[in-house]
Amino acid sequence: MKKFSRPRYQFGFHDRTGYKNRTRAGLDSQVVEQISDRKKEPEWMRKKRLAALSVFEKKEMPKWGVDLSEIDPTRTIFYAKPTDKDSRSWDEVPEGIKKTFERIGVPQAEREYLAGVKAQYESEVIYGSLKNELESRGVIFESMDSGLAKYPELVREYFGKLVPMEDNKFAALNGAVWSGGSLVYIPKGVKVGMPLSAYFRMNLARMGQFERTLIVADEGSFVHYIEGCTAPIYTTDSLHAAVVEIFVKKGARVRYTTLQNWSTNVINLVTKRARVEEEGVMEWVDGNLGSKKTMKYPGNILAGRKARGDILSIAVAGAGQHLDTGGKFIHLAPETSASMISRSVSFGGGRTSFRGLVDEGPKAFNSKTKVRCDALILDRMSRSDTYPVLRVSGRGTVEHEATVSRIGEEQLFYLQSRGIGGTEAQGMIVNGFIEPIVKEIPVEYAVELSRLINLEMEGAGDE
Amino acid sequence: MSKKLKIYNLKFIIKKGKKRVINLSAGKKYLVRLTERGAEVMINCKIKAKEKEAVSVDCDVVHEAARTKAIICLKGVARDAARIKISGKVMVNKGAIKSEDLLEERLLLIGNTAGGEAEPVLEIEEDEVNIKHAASIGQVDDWQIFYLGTRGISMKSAVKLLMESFLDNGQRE
Repeated sequence: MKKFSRPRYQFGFHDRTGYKNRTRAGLDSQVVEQISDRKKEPEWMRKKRLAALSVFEKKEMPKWGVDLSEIDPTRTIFYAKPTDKDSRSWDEVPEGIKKTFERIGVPQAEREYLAGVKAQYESEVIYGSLKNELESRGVIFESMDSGLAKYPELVREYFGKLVPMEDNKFAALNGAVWSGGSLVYIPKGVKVGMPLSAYFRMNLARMGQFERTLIVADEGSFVHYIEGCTAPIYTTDSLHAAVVEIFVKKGARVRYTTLQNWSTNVINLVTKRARVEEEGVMEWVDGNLGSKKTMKYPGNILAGRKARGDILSIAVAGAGQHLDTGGKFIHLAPETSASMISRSVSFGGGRTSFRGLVDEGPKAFNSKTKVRCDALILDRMSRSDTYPVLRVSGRGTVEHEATVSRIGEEQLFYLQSRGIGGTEAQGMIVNGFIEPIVKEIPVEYAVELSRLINLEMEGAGDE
Repeated sequence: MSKKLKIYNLKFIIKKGKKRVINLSAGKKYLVRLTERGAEVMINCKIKAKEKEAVSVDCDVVHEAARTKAIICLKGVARDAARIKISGKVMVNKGAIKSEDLLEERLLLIGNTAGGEAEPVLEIEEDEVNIKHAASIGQVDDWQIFYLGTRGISMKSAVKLLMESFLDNGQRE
């Protein structure tokens, strides 16, 4: 009988930071107004927040998916801010925070590869840099808070249009207490060669993060946005409820890469949605490794002729984890196409669930969808589920395929005969299993991912 | 996890080493339990719907013991403004090692207004298993109709032929 256990969380450290501004635990209109006041927001945003709060209070907890009964809003701190102002250069970043970033490798990533890093520490973006080149081409890459101050018209035009606060309970929660996140605008025809990256990090027990990201890619533009996160480990539960809205205009292409490695006490509830216009392409690359519980289903609304949506998704669930991930495609126009590849691995009592929706409406003539989801279960304590819904009304086609299996004895035997034994072989097979998705991730993240998987397998032990 | 209470129209229990073939009929909810080692089942379903009919079939298969095997093939053809919904669910309980299952759901839509929905659900609590599912929703291939047309077969009977072959193909006896 094999036993898998998770090694000590690698990034499970935290440093002391003076939290100058933070709200008290709990949520009511006073807290929401306090957040809005501190951010010096326009009146319409304040009203939006209060309206979202009343929606949040009215809506019931979702009864499907992961078990959310442990969430207690009265014990959650909804807003905290480590430093007072946005800092532009690396030198200005406070020493303690810098140290944390260095240990998770932000500076390297920034220097070597990335065009601009928005590092989110706590609820607010405290560090950001944007290459002059991008600025001169009219690209906007701001934290959502300063974006709202600088470009209120842009934010007002798109904010909450794709994920309205009535959408679900946690979208409403985010609407009420959001802070941080990114605002990205790519002008017509501009192709951003280097990926834009944001690093998220939480550093206070029982603190929720509610970032809000808005990406608008104007006609014929291209952008690759990367979001990656690591967080220190704590005993009390943290809540993360983000909302991401992406508008892909005619002929534009957006790629959104997520590498999620929350520590295993975080409840991660994310609403991500994209609206794709004529001949636009939306690509999601979604890696879910950490968190205690995750519910995340990137949505694609294919609204224009020949619009395309792609989702590549990985979930790796170890002991005590339940990752409920998947994707949605809603075809509203003719000749739209979509594809989804999902690979999930569960071990040590972990549970992965795939939940997918494909809806090809009566106007979606000759639209096509292909869904492929494979699951690997490493031991008897683990579990895997698949819940797809496929719906066609009219002239569309959908294909769906799935397999669930364990690591093949032959594969292990073969590797053993080559002198690669036990955990190393398992790590190799798991890495091979998720390879089709990993190869789409920028190289340094792929390296990190593969390292993390090997690390998790190390704790697995031999038979 | 909260389990929805479902009311079944028909229940089957398949015992040790037994093999059974079950043909499903439309509009019903089935529960098939493979309760003892080596139980095997083949489940077939053919549904036709036309005009404004809305037809559904629902079948849950539970593997409760080791080395149980199920082959489930659910097919439907919808034409005019008909809608077909096929739900299949395969559950593998703890202890049902070396169980095998293939859940197949195929829907053919004829015309521009027919609709279909497929839900192939898997819930697996055991690692040493071989479970697959496949689902597709699609139209009659225009090239096949064209080919039959060149052989002097009218459009109407070509569609009929393709429909029949679609339903018969892959059904096991």
